[in-house]
Amino acid sequence: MDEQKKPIFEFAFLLIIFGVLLWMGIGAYYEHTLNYDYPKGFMATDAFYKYDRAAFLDETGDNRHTPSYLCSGVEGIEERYPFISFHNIVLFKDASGLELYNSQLLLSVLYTILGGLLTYIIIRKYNQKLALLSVGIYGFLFVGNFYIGFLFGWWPQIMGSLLLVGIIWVMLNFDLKGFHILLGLILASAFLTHTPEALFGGLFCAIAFGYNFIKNKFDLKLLKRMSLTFIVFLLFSLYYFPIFFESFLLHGSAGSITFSPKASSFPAPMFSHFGFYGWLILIGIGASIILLFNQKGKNWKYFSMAFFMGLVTYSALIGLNERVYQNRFFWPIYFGIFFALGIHTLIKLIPLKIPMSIYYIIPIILLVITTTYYFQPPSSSGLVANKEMWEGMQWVRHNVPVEETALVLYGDSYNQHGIYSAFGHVMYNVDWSYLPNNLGFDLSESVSKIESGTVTRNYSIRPFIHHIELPKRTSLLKLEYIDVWKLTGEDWDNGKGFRQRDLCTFNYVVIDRQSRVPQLAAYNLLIREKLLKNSYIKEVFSNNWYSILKNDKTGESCIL
Amino acid sequence: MKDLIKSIRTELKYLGYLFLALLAIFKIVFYKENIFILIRTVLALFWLFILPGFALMYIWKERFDFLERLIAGSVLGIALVGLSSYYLTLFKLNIRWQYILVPLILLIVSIWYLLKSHKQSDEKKTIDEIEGNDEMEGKLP
Repeated sequence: MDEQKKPIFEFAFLLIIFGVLLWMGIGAYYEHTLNYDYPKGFMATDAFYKYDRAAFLDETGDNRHTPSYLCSGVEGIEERYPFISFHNIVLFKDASGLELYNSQLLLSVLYTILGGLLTYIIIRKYNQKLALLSVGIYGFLFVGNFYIGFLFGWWPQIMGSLLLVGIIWVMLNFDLKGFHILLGLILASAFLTHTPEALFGGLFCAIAFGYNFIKNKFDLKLLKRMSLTFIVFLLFSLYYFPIFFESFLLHGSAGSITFSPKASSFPAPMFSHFGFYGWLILIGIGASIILLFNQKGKNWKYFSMAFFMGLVTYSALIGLNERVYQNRFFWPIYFGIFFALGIHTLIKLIPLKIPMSIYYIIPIILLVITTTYYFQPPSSSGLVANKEMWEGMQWVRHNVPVEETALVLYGDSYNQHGIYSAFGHVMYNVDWSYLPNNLGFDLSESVSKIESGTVTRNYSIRPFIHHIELPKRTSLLKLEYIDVWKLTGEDWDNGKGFRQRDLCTFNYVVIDRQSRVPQLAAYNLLIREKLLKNSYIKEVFSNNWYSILKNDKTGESCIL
Repeated sequence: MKDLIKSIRTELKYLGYLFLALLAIFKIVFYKENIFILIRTVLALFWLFILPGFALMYIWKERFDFLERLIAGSVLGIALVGLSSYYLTLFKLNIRWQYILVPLILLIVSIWYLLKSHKQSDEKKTIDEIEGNDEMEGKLP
């Protein structure tokens, strides 16, 4: 290959890869539009929480507090979730003009592709051929269980994973002037994006630093640079420290460390999901160990991310934390070098001189195989079933005054309770929302009413409150935890907040017209019919999905 | 300084080609989408993440080739735009204008640092030329 044209070939090759991955990541699922008219792919409760954090930031410009509608109206609750990914989404939404939810998914896909490209750059410094071949496995980033992070709303984790690759790249170039400052900044950014990735990045840096420090005979200059890195990191993440220590560690939101094997709580990617590509990775792992052994550890740094993240993502098996299963989404990136070395080992068996162009063609063929045999875009739209459902939810968000109460009757999606956040209001819900996915509630009374077609004034209802104990910041470094349920006169301990409440006391009643269970939709409509018999109850929003009623005389006997 | 401007001009041209290539890819992948939405989306990517990161990476131009500065710079852009916006919002700067302000601030800081360090290295070069301290000469076999 002409040396002068090599960068152009490489650039063109990477653009093709970028295009194929963009197609797989979002193009096919979005049916080749970009600005979808309702959120697609919200398939779990987390997706709504993550969306809502970005939406709340977008609407209010507040990145400190949890929306009061998630805390039964209590103001000033400190937001515990790291927030940087939501900033990028809001800024990108403003700059691009895309809807917030479209910005969210597009950015997550781009972060993933960029993580792959940066890993390509890392491997390229070691060997161009290996770098080219490594790209052949990237299609798996958007295949089956590897794609779950996009659908379950783990978008901050995806950005965190990109920053983790960034941390490793910066650390591998740590000798350069100013890179110690960059390292501090990117560590802080990762810490405020998704904490576990910052911790893994920090651990990687500590190991690499320890190795270099010993190798350089305890060079104090190196120690000074690393100390500066830590100071920069500390300065830029200090505000989040009390949340990290108290909420993440002491209040257990990080999960537990028990040194007993932990299973994944979601359908995590398994090594077997790589199909025959997995065999190439295994060959590559063997070849890497032999290579590093023969070269006495020379070039270790190019393999360091693969070995390090391989150990991290299997650490749940010795009980370190079940959350590491999420980091398997980036396996195709981390294991790219093993995969490439596996192919390279096989190529070397061919007794011919292999032209460079073959190394460009092989990964493209492998990507085509992935798209043909393994790739299938999700068939479901998610928990927001269609545009009309979304319009109804947004109507509540923008039209129901904060001081007025709203009740939502049964809907198929509501057992993933994060969906209530999309209404942007304190939403009261009925207990039979959990009928298809019962979490241990006694639903017998509600079920008998549904079966007999009886409509009464009182039902088992609770407000949706996110979490039980929530923090308020009392000073820069101090938080105080309050029990939001008790504060608002609710009782979590008995019935998890469900108690008999009067249907007629709610200002708004949100009614799903459709359901996969026709009897439940029919019961919703029966309640609607009874309520509309009163002249003071009017339908204020209606489409094929929702009927939203407004009660102007709350407390009156609305069920006769 | 002339060299710097010349090299920036060349690389801006490359970035222009990249913009067109990305736009073409977006048009192929999202072929049902309106072209103006796609143009604005790709422009947003450039403005928010690619340009600030690329400008920052210019400080290490001698150490990394264009591709590495572009890709690593974009990752740094993503990290720094988010971090800056987080703190500006904590300090009550309206988020509505941050998509203009944050990349602009990062670009200005990077360009300022670049010019400053270039000026310093130019001055050092002149002193070295006067005193005959050409480092490269010493390295010749």
